[in-house]
Amino acid sequence: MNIRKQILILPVLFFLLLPTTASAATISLRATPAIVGVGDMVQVTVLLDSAVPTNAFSGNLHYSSATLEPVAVNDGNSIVSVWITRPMVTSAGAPITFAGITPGGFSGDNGVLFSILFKAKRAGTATISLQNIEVLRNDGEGGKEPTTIRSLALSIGVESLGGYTEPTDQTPPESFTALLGIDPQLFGGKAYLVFAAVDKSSGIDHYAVAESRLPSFLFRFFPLVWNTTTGPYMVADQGLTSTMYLKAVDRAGNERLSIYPPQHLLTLYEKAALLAILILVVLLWQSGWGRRRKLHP
Amino acid sequence: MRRTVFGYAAFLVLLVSVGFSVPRIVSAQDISSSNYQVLAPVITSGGGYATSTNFSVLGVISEFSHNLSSSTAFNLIPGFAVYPFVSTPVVTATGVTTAVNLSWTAAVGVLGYSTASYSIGQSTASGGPYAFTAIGNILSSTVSSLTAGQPYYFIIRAHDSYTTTIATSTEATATPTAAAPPPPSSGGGGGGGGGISPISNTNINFSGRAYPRSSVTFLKDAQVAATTIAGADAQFSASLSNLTGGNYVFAVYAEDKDGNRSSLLTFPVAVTTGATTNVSGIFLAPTLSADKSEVRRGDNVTFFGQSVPQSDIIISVNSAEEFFGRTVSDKSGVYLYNFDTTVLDYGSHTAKSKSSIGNELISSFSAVAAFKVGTQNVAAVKTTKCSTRGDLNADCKVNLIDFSIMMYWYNRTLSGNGLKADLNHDNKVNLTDSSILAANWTG
Repeated sequence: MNIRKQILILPVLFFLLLPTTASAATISLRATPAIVGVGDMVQVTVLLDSAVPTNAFSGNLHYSSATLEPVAVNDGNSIVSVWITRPMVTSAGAPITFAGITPGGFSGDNGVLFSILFKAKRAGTATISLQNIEVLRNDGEGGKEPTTIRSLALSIGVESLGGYTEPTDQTPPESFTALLGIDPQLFGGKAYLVFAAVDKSSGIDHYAVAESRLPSFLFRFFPLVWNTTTGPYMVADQGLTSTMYLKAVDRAGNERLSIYPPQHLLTLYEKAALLAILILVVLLWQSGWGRRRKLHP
Repeated sequence: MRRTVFGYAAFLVLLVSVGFSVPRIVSAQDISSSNYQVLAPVITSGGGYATSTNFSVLGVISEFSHNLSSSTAFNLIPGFAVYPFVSTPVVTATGVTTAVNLSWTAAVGVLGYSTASYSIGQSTASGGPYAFTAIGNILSSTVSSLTAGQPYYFIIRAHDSYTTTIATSTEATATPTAAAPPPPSSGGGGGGGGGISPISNTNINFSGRAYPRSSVTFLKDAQVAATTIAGADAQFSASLSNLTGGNYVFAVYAEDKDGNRSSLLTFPVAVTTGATTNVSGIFLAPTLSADKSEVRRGDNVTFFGQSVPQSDIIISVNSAEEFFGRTVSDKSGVYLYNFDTTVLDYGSHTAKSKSSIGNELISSFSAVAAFKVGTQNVAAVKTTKCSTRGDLNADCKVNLIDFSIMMYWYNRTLSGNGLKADLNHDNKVNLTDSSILAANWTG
């Protein structure tokens, strides 16, 4: 009987052990440091391994709110170039939702999607998991890539072990360029700016935009008025005669300035007024010239 | 009883023997044409290797294997219709303190090949000979204990599960740097003016092949970072400077002489502060168009495009079965292939092409060209770069503006212009549409 079983099992094992081809992505979590104590900070990084190029990622990150308190999200160094839903801490215990794209796709190991800074609140085992994960292929059709998800069980000791210390970020965000868009549906058909800067250290915190028609040497007397924004910005000067100044600010407060030049020198009204003045000058000049000819034929 | 046990044991030994002696089948796919049919062909590599000073056989040569035999003196290309291949890795090399960081794109196998591991070839002379180190199935590695200031040259080889080399990259070079001198001790001595320590730039260099005289665009984290023009031999190079150390996703594409864009080739790169990173061996896929949108069954459909001059072009036509054609590009990189549609069923089909140089460097597949086999011939409408899927504002680009339009309609009820954002026509704009947009991104 045993021999019969072995006869059946061995061939099955043999064929099961034959090399097979599998293409799938894996999303995993990595804690730095791996073991922490109460009161320590810990960085949890969401990593992607993908053998085939993938370009769109979404999901939710859940954590044990009894043992962990989310402090901040860092998308610096991310392979995601453009976020649809930028991961952020909204409230304690709320899952962190994310969705973003990588134009052209990513294939490789240990691609960073983002990382979260947690504070360990209570001793025990904290579970961090990923749900509703979607990874789509860069195949031009958005095909779903089978994805393995690896959750994380983090041990939290009773006493502090030092924890994670964020490196000092003294580097401003990468240089970036804004683009001007006009679409009938967006902002009521008005002109708007879109932009996406990246920061390799602490990640982008926010953007600030200012508009002015004045030359920069007059900013000392008429300082720019900055408006904070996180996404597309509707241009106030729809005549597009102002220079637009954009600041990308990272979480450490470092700034990178990008300037979008004015598209027109004058507004329509100004052009009309100027034209009227010119016509008036011409008329006056002609009338004067005609009078002089009469006087001095 | 003893005879029964002996019988079972003999059967077991027989099974195991058969199992180990069975050729290791890598792929099987029927091939047919108007005048032949091959059922379940296989590619084998269990026949042992034969070598001499100028010839090697890297497997059993059958009618269906390709690229398994090589020599410096001649090429043997047996078979007639199957072209299994592995795309050539793009290698990134960065010289750091007495070490070189290497990373490479995956060597993707098609039609039977599957990459199981890689090895790094290292040399102090360009062109080798290289000393190889097996490193497993990973896409990055650091070669340490190197001499600062000495240029090193590396190639990456991809192997199948039997350690047969199935792809070899072009050479990448990097020079390790010296360790930073220790800070001066605080005690004793004195004087001496302070100095500014030299800070070297953080740069990245790209080199590869596109199409002759083509415009090549480089994207850094989805934004246009540089453009250049390839030479008459299709080779290009470009540099980006003043980068910050960190992880980047670089991408490159080119436009051929007709303004058709190549598919986007991307590679993640970990840039080291103060170091120069070299990315070499970029080989863009050919462009591909079909002369007909519908072809009468039995008539020819012509595929054409541009690649590197005098390169081998393999055209794959997908239907229930996959058919292959082969041609060579001319001096200007242009190729043309007439495909007899007799073998195709009525209905929709797609074609794609790849390019290889000397059976060594192999590009990835091009974007697909779609056509239909029907009852009449309909000329294809000339596609222009402005017809790119995802170009929602019709400015001939797919970039942040199109993304912003799509995001307006994301998970909303569609109407008016919103229907344009529904790229897969499933009456909603979601992550799938974003993925399609990202695949067509131009920056």
